Amino acid sequence: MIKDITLGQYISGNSLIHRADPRVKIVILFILMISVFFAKAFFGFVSFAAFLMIIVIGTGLPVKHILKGLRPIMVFIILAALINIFTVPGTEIYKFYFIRITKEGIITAAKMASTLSMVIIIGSVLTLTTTPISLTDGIENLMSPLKRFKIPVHEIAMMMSIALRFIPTLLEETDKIMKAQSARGADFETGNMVQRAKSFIPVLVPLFISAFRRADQLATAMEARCYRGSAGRTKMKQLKLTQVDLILTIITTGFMVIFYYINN
Amino acid sequence: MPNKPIEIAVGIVIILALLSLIVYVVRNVKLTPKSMTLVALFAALTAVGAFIKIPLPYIPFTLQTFFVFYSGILLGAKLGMLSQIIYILIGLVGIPVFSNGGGPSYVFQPSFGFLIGFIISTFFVGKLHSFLSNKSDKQVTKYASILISSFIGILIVYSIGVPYLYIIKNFYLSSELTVQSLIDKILIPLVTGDIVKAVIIALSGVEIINILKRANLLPNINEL
Repeated sequence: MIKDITLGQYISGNSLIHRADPRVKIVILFILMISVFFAKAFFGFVSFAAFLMIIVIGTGLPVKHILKGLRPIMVFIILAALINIFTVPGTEIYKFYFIRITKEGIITAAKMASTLSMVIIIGSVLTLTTTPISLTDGIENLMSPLKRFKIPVHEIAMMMSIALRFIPTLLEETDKIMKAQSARGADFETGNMVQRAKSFIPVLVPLFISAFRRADQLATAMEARCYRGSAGRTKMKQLKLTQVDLILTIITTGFMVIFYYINN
Repeated sequence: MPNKPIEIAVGIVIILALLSLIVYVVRNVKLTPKSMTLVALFAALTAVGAFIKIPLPYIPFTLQTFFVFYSGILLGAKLGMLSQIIYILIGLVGIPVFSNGGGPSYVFQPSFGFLIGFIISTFFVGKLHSFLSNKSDKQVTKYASILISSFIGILIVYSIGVPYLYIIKNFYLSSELTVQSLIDKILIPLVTGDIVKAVIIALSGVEIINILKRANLLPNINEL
């Protein structure tokens, strides 16, 4: 059950979108995400979906991977769409005893479902084409104006990347401890809620001990290398804007202008 | 429906409120390598807790609450709160660490209110626990202080999470969820589960604190 989770879904590639600067990607995809919510007209949706399709094909990744991101939220979208179809008042199309389907209901449901799925597809394009490290790097760089308000942006980004590094290790460790305890006769699968929750105590205690030990070792390693935050720190990989970023920005700006005219 | 700018404005307001919380906590916290790794550790543990789930309708019943309250109890108010903020930032950036995925659009999920509740409750759990456990050195006080502070923590999580869920369900998704069905389907099974969890936190917490102190791994909250 724990093995199925893939964190940092990055898939390597050499497309324009892969090569773009993470900062540019974050800004562009964030703008796209917000503008989906402004789509009103039918052709606005169609043009947006078409542009999204071009982006998805442009990443050169199998479409299956991108649609995978939709799976966890699909039930939620379908449920909300169904409720909308049956409850929104308007001109009736179909009536069967107490069930009524209205034209307005179908339209609202379709709008909501497509908006939500497009937002999620945009999000997964970002995480599929950017490594978690360059993602946090980009965010740190974009947030650096906040340093003026004495917010330790660098430290927050550092903690985010340490946490990201810890997650797969801890998952593996939990899995190992659970297996070790089941080998000793612990039972996690049966019993009522109280018994099941109680069976996790023998997992929690060793998990905490090993996790704290790991954190302690990492802190010692950082101190031994004289880590002292962002002051005077240099980077091995400097973020640089290239021609790719210019091309992407021009394409997106062009689309936004077209989208604005079609939508109104 | 989603294409009203009001919803986006609400989302931005929530994000801004979260940011101002970060500003308050982060400016008052001393970040050494030791405290940074511990904060990151608890953010990662909270994420791991979201993956170990027992399915129930509406809201996933996960081991998350364990780690949320432990972060307040073991790290203290400010660092514990910071670890939850880091966890939510990781999720909002787009890495699927929440129980239903991740990404900035997660703000519109009905269960996001519980995540906001985590941030605020850790702060109070930490404060309350350090206040209560300093009262005396008896074993009973140790158990009681963990139990009481996690009960208060549950109260705070629900008082933020449930109204949020109600608002999102009724006004954003326009599905009609009555207060009665909210209580029947969500509150009763979850609250019983969480009360059980609080008892387990108290039972295992004292043991964990003792072992960690013996191994010299537990930081002194006042020194951080």
